[in-house]
Amino acid sequence: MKGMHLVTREGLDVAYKTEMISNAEVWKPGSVGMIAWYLQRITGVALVGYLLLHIFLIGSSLLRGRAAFDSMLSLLMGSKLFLILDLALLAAVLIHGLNGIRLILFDVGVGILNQKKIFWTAMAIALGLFAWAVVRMGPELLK
Amino acid sequence: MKQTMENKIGNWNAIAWLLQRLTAVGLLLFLGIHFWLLHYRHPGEVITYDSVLMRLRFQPLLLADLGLLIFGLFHALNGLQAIIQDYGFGAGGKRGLGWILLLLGLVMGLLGGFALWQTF
Repeated sequence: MKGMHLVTREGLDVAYKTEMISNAEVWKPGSVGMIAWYLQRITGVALVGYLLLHIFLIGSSLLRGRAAFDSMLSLLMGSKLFLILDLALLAAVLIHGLNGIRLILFDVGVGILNQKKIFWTAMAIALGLFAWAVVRMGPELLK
Repeated sequence: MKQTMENKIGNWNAIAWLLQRLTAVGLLLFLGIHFWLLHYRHPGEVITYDSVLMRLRFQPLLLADLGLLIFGLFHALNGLQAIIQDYGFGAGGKRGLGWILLLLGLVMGLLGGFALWQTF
């Protein structure tokens, strides 16, 4: 029952060939589904790197006490570059998180036939939240 | 019935698949709290040791950060393993990769866990 396991590449392929999801075009190169897949993967790897670095820097300086922590944080947070990187981090989290919700919906059997619309809706929400964050960060960026 | 190695790996893969989804849902909450409080509530404000102590003495926020640490590490390293296996490394019976990532997760988890706990 390969076709039942839509979440695997093979399953999707079978489903695609048997026209179960002929409108979804998930694995077509350059399709919305493929773009979403690459975005999820690229942001995922970037976030893994960030998380490990974040735990190491913040955790080790917190363990070394007040002076070490405060000097580390003023070094990390005391520049505009930090604010820009912080926004880039948020962008990666929003793309990964909102597309992740889309993937979980598919896993529970919701919306796979509307996967393109759901992708663009998720990205529109991501853009909206990102714009809100830029507006909040704006005065600091312009200082 | 005695399980074969293949069955065991298959079972673990299924559990890991489910845990990846469950941690994802948890992360939406924990990361949302963390991001709001530390990055966007007072944009541009440099976080200090004292402000961290103040925040983490409030138990729900300490638990949220501990949850973020554990869920984040699992989700990140399990996801990384899936990606690496997609390119043909450490798949099937070769379990070295899994052990390396587990060890990395434990070390980072203990570092982060002690750092959070000692503020309490």
